[in-house]
Amino acid sequence: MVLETEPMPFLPWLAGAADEWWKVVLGLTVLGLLLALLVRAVRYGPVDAVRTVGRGIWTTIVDLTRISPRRVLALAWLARREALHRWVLMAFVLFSLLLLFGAWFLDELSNDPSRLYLAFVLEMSRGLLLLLALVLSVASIPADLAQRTIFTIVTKPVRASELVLGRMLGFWMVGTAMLLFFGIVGYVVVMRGLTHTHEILPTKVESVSDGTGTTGKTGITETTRRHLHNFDIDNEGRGRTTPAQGHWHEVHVEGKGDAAKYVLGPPQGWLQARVPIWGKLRFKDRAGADAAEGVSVGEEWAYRSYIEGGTLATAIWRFEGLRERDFPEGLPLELTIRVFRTYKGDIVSAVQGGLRVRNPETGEVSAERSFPAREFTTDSQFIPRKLFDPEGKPLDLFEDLITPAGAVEIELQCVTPSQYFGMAQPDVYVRARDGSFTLNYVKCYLGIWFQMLMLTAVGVMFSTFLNLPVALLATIGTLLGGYKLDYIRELTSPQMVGGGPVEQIVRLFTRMNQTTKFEEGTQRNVIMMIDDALRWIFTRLTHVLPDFGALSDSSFVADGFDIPAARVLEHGVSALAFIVPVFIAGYLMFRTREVAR
Amino acid sequence: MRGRQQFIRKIVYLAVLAGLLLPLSWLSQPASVEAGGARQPGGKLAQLRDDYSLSQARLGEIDPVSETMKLATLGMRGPAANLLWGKALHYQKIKDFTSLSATLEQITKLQPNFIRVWIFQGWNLSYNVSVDFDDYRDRYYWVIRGIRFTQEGLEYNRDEPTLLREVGRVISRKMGQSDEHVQFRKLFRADDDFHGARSMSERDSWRVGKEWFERCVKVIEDTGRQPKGSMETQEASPLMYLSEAPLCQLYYASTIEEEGTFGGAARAAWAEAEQDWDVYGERDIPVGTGTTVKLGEANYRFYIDRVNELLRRLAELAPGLRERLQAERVASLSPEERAALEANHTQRSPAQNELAAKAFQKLGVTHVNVAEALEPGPKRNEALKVAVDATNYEVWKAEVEFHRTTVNYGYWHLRCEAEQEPEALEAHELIYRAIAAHREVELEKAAELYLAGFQKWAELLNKEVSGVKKYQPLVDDGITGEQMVADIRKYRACLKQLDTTFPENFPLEQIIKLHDQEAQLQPTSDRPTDEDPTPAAE
Repeated sequence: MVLETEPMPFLPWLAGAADEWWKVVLGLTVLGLLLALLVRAVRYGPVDAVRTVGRGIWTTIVDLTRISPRRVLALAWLARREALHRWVLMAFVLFSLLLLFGAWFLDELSNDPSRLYLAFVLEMSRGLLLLLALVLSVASIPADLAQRTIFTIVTKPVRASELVLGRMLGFWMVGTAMLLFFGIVGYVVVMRGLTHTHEILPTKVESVSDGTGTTGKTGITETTRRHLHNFDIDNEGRGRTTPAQGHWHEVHVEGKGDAAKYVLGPPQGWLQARVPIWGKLRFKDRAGADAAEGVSVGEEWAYRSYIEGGTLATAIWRFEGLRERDFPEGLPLELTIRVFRTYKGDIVSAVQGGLRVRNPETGEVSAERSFPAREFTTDSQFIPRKLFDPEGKPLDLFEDLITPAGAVEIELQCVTPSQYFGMAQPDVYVRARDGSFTLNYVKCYLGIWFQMLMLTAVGVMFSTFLNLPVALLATIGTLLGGYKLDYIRELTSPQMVGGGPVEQIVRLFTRMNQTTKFEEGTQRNVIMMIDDALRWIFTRLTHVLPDFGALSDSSFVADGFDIPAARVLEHGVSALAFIVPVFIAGYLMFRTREVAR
Repeated sequence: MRGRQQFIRKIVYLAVLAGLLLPLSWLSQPASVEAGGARQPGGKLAQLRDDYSLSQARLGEIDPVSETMKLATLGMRGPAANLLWGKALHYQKIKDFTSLSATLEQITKLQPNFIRVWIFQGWNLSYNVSVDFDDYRDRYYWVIRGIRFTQEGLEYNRDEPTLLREVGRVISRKMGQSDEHVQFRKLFRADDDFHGARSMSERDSWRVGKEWFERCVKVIEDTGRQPKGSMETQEASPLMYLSEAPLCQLYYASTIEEEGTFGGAARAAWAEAEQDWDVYGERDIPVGTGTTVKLGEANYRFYIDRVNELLRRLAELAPGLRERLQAERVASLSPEERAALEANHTQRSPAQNELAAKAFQKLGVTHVNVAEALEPGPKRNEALKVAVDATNYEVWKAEVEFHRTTVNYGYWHLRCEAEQEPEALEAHELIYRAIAAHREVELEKAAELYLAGFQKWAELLNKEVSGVKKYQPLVDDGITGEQMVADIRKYRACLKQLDTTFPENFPLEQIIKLHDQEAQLQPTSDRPTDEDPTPAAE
């Protein structure tokens, strides 16, 4: 799968995230306090400002520390009932309808239907749930204010913090129920959608012999769902089909002679949750010297770099922490490399690659093992326990090639001259074990759940001081900004081709080429100044906006990789770290409303 | 009173409303089919929709999914389609082809009647996405995906000639002329899913492509709709699209011989190609000048003969007059003009070039100039008429010649005839067997077969039909020449492996002299080069 950022262990991530978090929170708090002091001071003088703000801080601490769970739950229950009245059930109906007829929208000729189904179900769940959260969260308080039903609550001994938290909690309860429904129904749809079998006609089965006698049978299945498989069966009547559309089937024979019936098992290879051990990638150039990265073959997306075939260019992965008891038979290595041909050459034959295993401490290396490169598919290369060195001396994987600390290097070369192999760090990994697909699916929905929690909190926060349309726009803006955070960071980068926003606008309307330099002068200085200010603002904004894209793990599930527990933990901590300040901000904003006094 | 006035006013409004229902019904009544099958055309708007093929039912299949998606965008179909295009480009960039094809499906649901979507993305899948895969089987899969994508467009845009042509183009060209054409043609033949009930014998990529081109031409003839060219705003040239089906047959005949089909089957294929080419030549093809041309041999011969006849008549009417006028004009040139004309054109100065151009124009003696130079009288009148006719016929002949050259009509016609000759059929078979023997390292046998094949080619090229070496023009032609040079190079490699020099009096020496660009196959060379190819093993 594609991982453009290297996953970090949880604790180092937490340290870095906490460092940034407290700086942002502190900065916003100080900014808020200064603003409050300034506004108050202008109206009532500095003494009054200090006194009022001080009192406000004390009230806030009291309100936040004396929240009554009972009252919060009561308000949450009220919010839940309100949500049900607001046609939230329609979302259930809509989701069910979309799933029932989802096949209409899917590409029936897809070469990877499991990926397509999973991506469809997960993305639709996310989209619908976030839409629901958006509508529910922004409409509640403004509607209460407009209809004056808020007075029935604020006249009760309810704290403003409890009111805001109760709303959030109520909508969270509704969203969670929705998500459970989406998750279960989606799971059933995926399972049913992918389950299929093929008929095998006896007329399409042939015996295979090798001169000494029949060694088995070979045949071809009938076409189902726009694909078919070839298969081989041994003399005991058991076998397997070739892969197609990312899956294969077990085959067995029932009965004998003319009454023999060929039975296909359910599809396998779909709906996996591989638990990988990632390595660290480094390169050697064509002369064998260390290189920072491989070569570029001119692709626009620079995720992968390439090594040249027929030279000393090598891609080396270093794996750590490999234990003998985990891999007693050998290392299950998996590759998803790319091939780039500088000339077509032998079209029928694949480009050849070579793999070696090296002990990073002793330098002991195994003999090169050749393999034909296979693109756009996971190529399994099992490294057995017993190997040989280039002179033919037997080697043991763990005793000779893996260090006592569990480190080993896997060297990959392209053998065919003038052709190239492309790789990124996650493209080669050790398949430690297979996790549970169902659990992985649940973990993915947890990510969606966290997104829903965050968006609901934002919506309720905005609704405490904005009217409905403006709160809706602000929340939508937050959602879009959260998903396009990488794009915003790219725009604020000083290396952005064409300059900042104002410069780009000027270039657009004057039809100036992006690489043409502006003439020195006042105009250029003014444009640069404004752009610098805008960059500063947007950069600060990227620290505040929630990174919804990072919470989305559908690519893990669709590509068949286990979502690491550390990642789920990171999502949870991120969500909590976002929600708490947003709740406090919402509470403070609500307190400024006259109705809350 | 006021209440009564309001009441009356309401009655009047109701009456006006009722009255307006009549013209409304005349305008908007939908078309329907009654029990018994009789079709009611409906109101004026329904009839106009029918006449201009604007209604979805007339355009093609009514797709509830497409209609639902269009409605769901709440009027923002354009921005939604834009977003999807951006996503499609992103997925292609990161080579997530599963998501790319899914996104294309969504785009076409939003814009099912935008032809350029189907054409561009079908081509994109077949030509750009396919080459990203290393395994030729994967490449084939994506070429077929692109073809199917374009075919799907026809379900929404029934009988759209641009789409029909595009399907034919990709099937014929990509399967038949790409680097992987050998492998693609095999896979195409074995592709039951694509062909359905089509028999194995009809599963040749050129033949299937030809079917699609013929379907396109039939739609054009039946409906008058023209296919679009590479630009949305221009129509495709009839000269080109009418030639595509016959060319497929030509390439089919050529390809099956390369693949080892000879004798009667090959001859029949070439005969069909000749017939198709003749039919194409007999069509009145509209060209850019607003006229029509016929490319056929008979028509072209007619213009040649007519021009010759008229020029002969003019010469009879004004014997020697053209030469005299020419001499007078040369004499009238200034010394500078004469010097400019006589100078080597590569060594002229810009001023001399200008002078030379003007002088050249002055020297041109037209047929009308010749006629006008005669004394007034009936002879002059006749000469003028002949001169005007000759000028016109020369213009028409040039037009036919130009368009014949565009599609290489003359070459292919002659080639069709030549390939049906027994010498050609034998030559192909001998060369094929020679290549097979060479691949099996039966070098002496291969050398013998190569030479026998080249001798047959020489016999064909020197063959006289009605006292004329009819197929000599093929010697000059680059297509034939290059194909023969490629086989000669294989022969050369075989001789090199036998450590034998090239034979003297090689039967195709003329071909080598005319088409061997690198001069490495000079038969008098003692040392073979290292660059001659050995046929690759299949």
